[in-house]
Amino acid sequence: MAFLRQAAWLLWKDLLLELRRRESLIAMFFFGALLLFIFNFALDVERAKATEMAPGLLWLAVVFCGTLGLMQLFQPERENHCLEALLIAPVDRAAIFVAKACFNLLLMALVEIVVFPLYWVLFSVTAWDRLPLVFLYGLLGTVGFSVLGTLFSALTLSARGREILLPLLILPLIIPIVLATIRGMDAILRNAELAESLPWLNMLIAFDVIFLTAGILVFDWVVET
Amino acid sequence: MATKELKRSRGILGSLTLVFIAVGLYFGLVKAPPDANQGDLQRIMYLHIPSILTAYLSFFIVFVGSCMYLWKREQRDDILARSAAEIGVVFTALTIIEGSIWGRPTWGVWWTWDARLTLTAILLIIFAGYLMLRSLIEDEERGAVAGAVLGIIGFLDIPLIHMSVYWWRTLHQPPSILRPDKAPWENVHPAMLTALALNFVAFMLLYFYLLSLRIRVGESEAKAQRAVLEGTA
Amino acid sequence: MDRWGYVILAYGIVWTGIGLYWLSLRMRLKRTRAKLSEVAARKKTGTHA
Repeated sequence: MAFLRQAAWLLWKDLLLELRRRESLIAMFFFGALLLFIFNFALDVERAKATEMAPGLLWLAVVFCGTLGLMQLFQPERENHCLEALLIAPVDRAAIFVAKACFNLLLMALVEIVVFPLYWVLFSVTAWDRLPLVFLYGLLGTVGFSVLGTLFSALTLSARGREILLPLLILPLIIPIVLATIRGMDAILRNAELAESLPWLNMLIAFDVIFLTAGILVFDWVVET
Repeated sequence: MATKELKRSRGILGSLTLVFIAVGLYFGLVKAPPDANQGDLQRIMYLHIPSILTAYLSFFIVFVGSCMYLWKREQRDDILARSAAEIGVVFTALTIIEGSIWGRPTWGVWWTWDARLTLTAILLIIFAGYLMLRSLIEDEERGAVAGAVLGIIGFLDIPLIHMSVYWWRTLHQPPSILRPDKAPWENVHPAMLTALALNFVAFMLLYFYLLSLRIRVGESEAKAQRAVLEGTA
Repeated sequence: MDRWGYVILAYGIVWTGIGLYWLSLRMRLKRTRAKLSEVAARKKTGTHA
């Protein structure tokens, strides 16, 4: 209980900061919308193929926006030795990790709520009834992305050139999540039988749980001073 | 003296490696008969299987070294993990290149998104990322801890990647050419098995020789860094 | 290219690659050793560069 309360307070702190500075969220929104435009020019997405291409393109937008958010994730802590102060505070380290991951998840979910329907509108996808399920897969994929992303965002804090290093480390590691998310979304959009999409959903949840557990276990080492 | 003995055993390992490489080459390229289907092309196998097994072993050693480092905090284990990662990357890269050369005449393409090929490429990317991470963190201890965490997560991620990629591939296309229905040792000419075994021994010896050399490099680099720090302090 | 051509290419690339890696390790060892002895010599004379 104390753990959850600590995590909630830390999350609230980050949300307040974001509300005042609005550094990450607006950039992420803008970037996501921009990407959809660029996809149109790069791939010439036709109406007939738009539904088929949706999972891959949506996930690319999510990953790019998410990486953008991860760069900024520990920015407030880097200034004025806030990270040291946070680590000295009588707070469970795992709570810090969970709060940060939740914060990133929240930002990305907000972006997805806007960007997914925007794709439907811009590329005239008609399957509106499928959108909630696609969103569910997107969200579950984002959980895994946020968890691993938060871990590696903290891990690379003292590295030179972390802006390029961070995606380089995360992208190969989240391949299981990517595959499960995209294949699941694909099955949903093809109106495939439940037996085809459900295994991916189960797999996705299992991966999320595994990564979250691993993250909580190793985060203590990642931030030690 | 101990160092003298160490030097001698290193010399023995080195010459033994050379001998086995020569024997392996002779058996692989001359003594083993050409394959019934693939002819002489199949001789690449004597290179391919030992080198990928060596790479797998190497990444396992990264995992072990990383765990040991986080547990005991001895620089020795970190040097072991980092050395193994570097050699593993070299062997994985070579395996992919030579597999690609093998694939071109047999399947008609240099690359195909087969589950095993994809997995090997991801392995290469993950551990190349490990090396990059290590080279970009100046602080020695921080770098070691970060490397150990990545070494552990990267290694544990492999079964998950394997599972998802394999499942995806088998759902969408029939089992690939790379997945034999029979165990590899069935219906194989004994001379081929001998050649494979000899080459395997040669690669193992080569691996441990290179690893000990790379560890020595790591140790003297650490010593030099310490000496420089003491000098400026 | 015939079959032997591919075989020779594969063996050539692998053994050249391993040979080059071995050479690079030797050179790194030599370089750090030289640096070590340089630092040690500097310490002995007590001068700072």
